[in-house]
Amino acid sequence: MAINTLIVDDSTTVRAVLAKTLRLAGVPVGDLHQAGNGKEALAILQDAWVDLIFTDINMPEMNGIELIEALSKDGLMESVPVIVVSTEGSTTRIEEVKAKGVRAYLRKPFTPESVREVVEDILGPMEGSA
Amino acid sequence: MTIEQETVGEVFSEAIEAQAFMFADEEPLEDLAPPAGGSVKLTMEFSGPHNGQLLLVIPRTMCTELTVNILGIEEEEIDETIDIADAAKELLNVVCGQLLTAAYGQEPVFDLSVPLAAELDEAGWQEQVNGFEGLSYLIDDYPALLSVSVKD
Repeated sequence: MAINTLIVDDSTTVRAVLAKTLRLAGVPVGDLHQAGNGKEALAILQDAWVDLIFTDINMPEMNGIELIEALSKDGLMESVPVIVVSTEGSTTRIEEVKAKGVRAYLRKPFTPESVREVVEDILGPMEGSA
Repeated sequence: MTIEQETVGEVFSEAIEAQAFMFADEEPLEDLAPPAGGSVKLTMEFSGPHNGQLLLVIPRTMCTELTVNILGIEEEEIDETIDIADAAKELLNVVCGQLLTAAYGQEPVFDLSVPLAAELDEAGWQEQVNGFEGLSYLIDDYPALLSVSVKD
């Protein structure tokens, strides 16, 4: 089953590394969309259906928290799992985003193993899992 | 509350090794030669229970190597669509996040600015060196300056 994915991060490096890491982790990515901030992400979601969203927190124009709140308002948080990918490690911040409906929190730098683990926790075992 | 230099050094070394497979060796500031081909000054700020700024100055050529190493590409694949400072900005971003946790624990919430990059010529490098207070490195033979200042 192909997983249509949206990666939201202002760093082109992070977007490229996460895309590569998803492939290395064996996640069956279908359509891959990328956005540089929350505003761009919402524009993409106007026209594209995704099964999974990865988002950073600190971004210009519209940050990750604002994006999550906008998705919540649109009812998308209930149907599309959102994973926060951030350099921040505060447990308070993690609790804050999870209270807003975020399904998982990945701290940077991430590994293929940690990416696979959170995706499987959310979407179920993937091909090749033990 | 300032952050111990030792903590800064440990976090930075771990981050650059884990992300870019590069090794940072502390080097006396006076022994660092100005980078040929210019350098890049990277800054970002944090705010919250404590406020401060991180500064990293590295050669432009090191930005290219960071890009190659972090993206896992060949240098020939770098074209005008790739911002070579972006990988360095992300490195600083990771260092900042890891450092704040190491220094202040896992509970406080900080807001982090978007990292900024500015190109420096040789005179610009020298301006950074003059009066510099922080850590100076050779990172795989690239000179580098790193400082963390806490304002409160």
